[in-house]
Amino acid sequence: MGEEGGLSRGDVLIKGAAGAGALYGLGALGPHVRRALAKTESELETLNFLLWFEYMQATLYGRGNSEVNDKKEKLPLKPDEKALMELLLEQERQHIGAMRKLIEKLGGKPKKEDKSEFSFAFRFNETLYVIAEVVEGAAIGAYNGAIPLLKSEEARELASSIVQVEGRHAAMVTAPFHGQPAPEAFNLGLTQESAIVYTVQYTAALLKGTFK
Amino acid sequence: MTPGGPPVSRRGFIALAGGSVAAASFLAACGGGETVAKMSEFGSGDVGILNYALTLEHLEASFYTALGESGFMPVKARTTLEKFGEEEEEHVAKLAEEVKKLGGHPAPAPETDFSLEDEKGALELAGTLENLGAAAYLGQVPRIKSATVLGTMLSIHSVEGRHAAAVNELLGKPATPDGAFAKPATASTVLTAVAPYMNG
Repeated sequence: MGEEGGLSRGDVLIKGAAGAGALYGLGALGPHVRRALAKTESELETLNFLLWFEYMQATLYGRGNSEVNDKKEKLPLKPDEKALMELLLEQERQHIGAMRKLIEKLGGKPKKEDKSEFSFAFRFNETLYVIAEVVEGAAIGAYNGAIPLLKSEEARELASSIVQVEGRHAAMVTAPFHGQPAPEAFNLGLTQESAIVYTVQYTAALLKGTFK
Repeated sequence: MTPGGPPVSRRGFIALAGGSVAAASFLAACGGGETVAKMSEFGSGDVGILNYALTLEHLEASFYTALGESGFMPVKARTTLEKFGEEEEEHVAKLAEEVKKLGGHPAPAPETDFSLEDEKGALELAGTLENLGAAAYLGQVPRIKSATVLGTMLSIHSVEGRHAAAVNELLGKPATPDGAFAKPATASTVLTAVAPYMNG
């Protein structure tokens, strides 16, 4: 039961995705992200980190929903895949709205959304789902790592409610290519650094800026 | 399947799973359908919460064993559902270990009877148990005191969410039935729902 719980299938499949030019590697970490990782996070910073992960997911599903790959080629989705992308995008947008509202309620300032922070490279449908599986897995790890650190009861409850849905999303994105919806028995919490590193290392999420 | 004890009856399960504080409330509720409010006291303390979760995991593990032996395992989902069963067993072992670490006694496995009659009904029951399980974990999050226990519970909670979504999809039901935000279930709701599958 390693820290990578839930990511093992993606670990394997991404080897194929890398052949399509999807793997950018750790060099994609921007200086602001590196700096942010070096210090202890406050409650509001932790919530903003989770919000940033929601932005990442929404950006990914927005890309999938656009049906255009990284070569600007049409990436046609079957009707059920299109419906899946729309549902995932809608639910991630709802998470964003709720997380922003909570941060404001707790006296903080929600991080602004900047879609240019993320660049997901995929040429084929299957690569899109591989990336989605890993991003969802990393998001689950990020939430599970953050929730025990949260002091606000409301924050804990919202984050816990969302993380179950992220778990459901993780299963849903394996369906189109008949993957294993629950590859590990435990989805352990990840530190912020681990969650980011996994996402970058395995999905070609190019973090150009900062989640601050 | 149960570390350290024989199977227990439905009444015994309810008493054992709740811990001493809530046991009387559960027995009363079981016998007379009363005390939903009292049932919310279920599992005061982290040991009680862990034992509540452990009991549900026992139930799920027992279900997948019964499914495998029933002849009603859906062929198209055999690998997935067998894996879910293995994972429930892992959850049982982990939760029992956590109870012991806190100085408690792991709740024994309840006696179960799922009366599986066909493939569709079996899959429906899998969906019921998995969705209840995910909601049950979510319902306990605000009550957990120890960060370590919370971490363990969360690590299982999202996996139960994965299981529930996958089974829902096999059933042709929405994978996120509550929408973007999962809803918790109280212990009283969960135990009332699973009571029919307990013997005794």
